Amino acid sequence: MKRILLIFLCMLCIDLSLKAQETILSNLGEAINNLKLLVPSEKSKFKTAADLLLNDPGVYNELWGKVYNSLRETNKLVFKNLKIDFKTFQGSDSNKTSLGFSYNWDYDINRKKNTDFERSGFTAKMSVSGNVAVKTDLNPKDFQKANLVLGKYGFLGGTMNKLDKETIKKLNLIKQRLANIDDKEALAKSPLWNEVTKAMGIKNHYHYDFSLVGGWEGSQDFSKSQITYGTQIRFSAKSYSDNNPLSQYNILDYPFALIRYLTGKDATITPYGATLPIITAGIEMVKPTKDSVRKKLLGNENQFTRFRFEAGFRTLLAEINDKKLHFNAAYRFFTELNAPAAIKTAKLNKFSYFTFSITGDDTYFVSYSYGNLPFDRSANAVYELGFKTNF
Amino acid sequence: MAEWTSNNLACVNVWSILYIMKQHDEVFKKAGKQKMKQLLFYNPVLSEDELKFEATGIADFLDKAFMNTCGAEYEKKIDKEKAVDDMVAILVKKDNTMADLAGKVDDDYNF
Repeated sequence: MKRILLIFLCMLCIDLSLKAQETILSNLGEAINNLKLLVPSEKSKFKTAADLLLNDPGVYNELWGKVYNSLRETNKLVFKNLKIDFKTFQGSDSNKTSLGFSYNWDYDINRKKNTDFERSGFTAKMSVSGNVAVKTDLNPKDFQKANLVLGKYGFLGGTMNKLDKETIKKLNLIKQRLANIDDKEALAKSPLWNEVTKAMGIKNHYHYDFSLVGGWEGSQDFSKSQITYGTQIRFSAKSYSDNNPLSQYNILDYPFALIRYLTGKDATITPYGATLPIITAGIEMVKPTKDSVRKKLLGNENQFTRFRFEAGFRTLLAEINDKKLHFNAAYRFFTELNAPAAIKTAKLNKFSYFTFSITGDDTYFVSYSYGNLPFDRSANAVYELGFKTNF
Repeated sequence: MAEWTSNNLACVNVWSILYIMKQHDEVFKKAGKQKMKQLLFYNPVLSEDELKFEATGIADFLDKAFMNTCGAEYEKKIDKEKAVDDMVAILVKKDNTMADLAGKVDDDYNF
């Protein structure tokens, strides 16, 4: 049943992307024919232009956006959380590039109903995600997975004070006064914020999720695959007061706090508690179902235990001419526990993948990735270059 | 998209609480056009699952702030689960704006 579901979901994703591509090709073909009629001698130039367009992920993203919006308008629940991003992949050892896309779909099967006072519950959800390149060997994240997650999630902290009507009325007036301040610096320095935050009683905010996770993962061409099952915990803590001790513990943000200070964004070297990283850790059993390398090295495809650690971090890097630059990073680490010597010698017991980008509001985009995931063909040999331009 | 005006408490509360959460530092007049991808939580290199987790944290904080400190009540047929899910759906789409978020909040809460 799981396999049927998986195949159905994969087919759905592929079908949708093919439909999007058909639309693109049809539109481009029509445009080229029209242009040919106007200027026959410029045929080769149009072909070059068409080739450029066909390899531009931005075109696909724009058209996919239109297709997706039209699908959403049909109110088909199944499309609600479907996301596809087209990209250009480039190998680090060559100038070869490949068009590709990443996809993700998830669906909450059940979430226990919450009241204002109950802030934890049971969750069950399915998800499918992956990375596909037209030229398979240039896929920097050759990894697809389908998961079923059962678990408990919850929140602690946040705004702790339950205010009376009079105080709420007073705070609403203060907030409206703040909303009428048109100068950014004057707004930041306004003492009215203290009145609001003091009344709200803001505490550190914690979000956790403890789950049983089972699923399938494999390479883009399905030449390698394995079944996984185990547990994972995901955790995020945020502090919205810079003087809070939790903010001071955000050691990842200190280099960026220094940059913000040196570039004049912040008056002091202040790490942000709102940028504390999101952490995921899990232990799972892995049963290879198609792994010729492992079979060759060990003579079997026995299951093994794997530890997984993932972290994500984003912070403000600087603000230049009223334009913000953000630093975004993610790190993923997999290690096989008590791996056989042959696996260690072949360096197949540990995989890590680090990616970061620097993004501006709509202006800058630089992205770099390093490392490899369990199904990548070569270790540390490929990277993904940013696809968004407007440098 | 909701009309972005300081006369609308949904707009003012979304703007001010996200400001307190350090998600942005924009003045109210300009903040309506701020996109989700410009907010501090929106890390584009996270997996979809991780991004949704972070967005859920933001939505839970907003919900609790609305209910405890802004005098909000859920509209008919809306509960915490639906209100938080609606906000998360807006938060995870990079090109949605703060005005879009305020519009959904205005639909789900009565201030």
